[in-house]
Amino acid sequence: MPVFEVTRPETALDVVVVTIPALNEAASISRVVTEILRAGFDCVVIDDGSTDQTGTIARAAGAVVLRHPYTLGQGAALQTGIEWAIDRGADVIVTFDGDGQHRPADIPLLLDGLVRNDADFALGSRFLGATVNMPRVRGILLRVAIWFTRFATGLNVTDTHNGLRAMTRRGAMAIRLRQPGMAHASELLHQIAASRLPWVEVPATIEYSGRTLQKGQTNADFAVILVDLLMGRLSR
Amino acid sequence: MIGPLVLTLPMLAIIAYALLELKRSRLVGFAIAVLTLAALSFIWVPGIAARVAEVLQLGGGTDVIIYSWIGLLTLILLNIHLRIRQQMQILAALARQIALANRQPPQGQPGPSTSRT
Repeated sequence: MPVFEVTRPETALDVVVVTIPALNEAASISRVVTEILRAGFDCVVIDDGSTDQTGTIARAAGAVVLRHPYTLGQGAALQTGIEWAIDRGADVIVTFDGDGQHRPADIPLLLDGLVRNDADFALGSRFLGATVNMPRVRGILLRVAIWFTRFATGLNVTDTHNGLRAMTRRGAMAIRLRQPGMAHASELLHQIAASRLPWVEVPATIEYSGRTLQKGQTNADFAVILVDLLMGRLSR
Repeated sequence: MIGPLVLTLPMLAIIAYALLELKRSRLVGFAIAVLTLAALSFIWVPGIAARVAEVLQLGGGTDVIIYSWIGLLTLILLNIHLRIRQQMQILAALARQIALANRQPPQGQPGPSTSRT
């Protein structure tokens, strides 16, 4: 796995906080945190009730850690991170996966996307950028999910369920994730559409490995996500 | 006359339940109320059930009443599921507040810390 040398761009965005939801990521969290800190960004790891040493390792690597008392799900972890970053006075909040599938080198591209387009949300897109080792079935399911997202939200996105995003403080304050599990990614897009705040997509690279595929969403999770979204809609 | 009256009382209770649940889920609460009213009409005017059965090709009026009950129970189960989800969301919000209140700073830096990890 290559180590990327990233330099933080000179922008008016003073405080950039990278939030990393992590569940049993002891194997990868140290490298992820180290690279992000080296790039000059603040970093908070939300340990979602890990049973391994994820939190301890993240702290040793230099991250602030917020630990859920039990596993709530990635959506809840992101909401915790977003709230902490807002409280801390962040100008921009970046969401980043802890399993090493994202590249810190893409963070400056997201920030650049926000500034250049005067947008409140910059969404990483693997289909504008690149994927490494993506299984064919995953690609097909994602295409279906993208079509569904476009239909459901009206946002003409080229990717969905990509955890790499950046949002301004104003954008983050318009977001309140209620879906604790993986359906939060669709919920987030719904809330972006409802907020009517400007958004932009930025090319990003996703690197799949045996570990990320094992730990990440399974193909069957797409059905669970649909049920979660439906239940979320019924609860109104 | 006693039979319809005995069935009507729990039906009225279900309608009251549906109205109370409208706040949680408008769609489910409304569906429960409508289905219960339909079941009530089937009890008091059996001709309606027979007519519906004929249109839907469901056999007899009794079958329609049974299907209505099954639909009603399914909706009530769904509503209980939604209620549990809501409780889970409240618990999650509480757990997130605990996490936010117990920030663990990077190792070697001062700040509030817990001994959880």
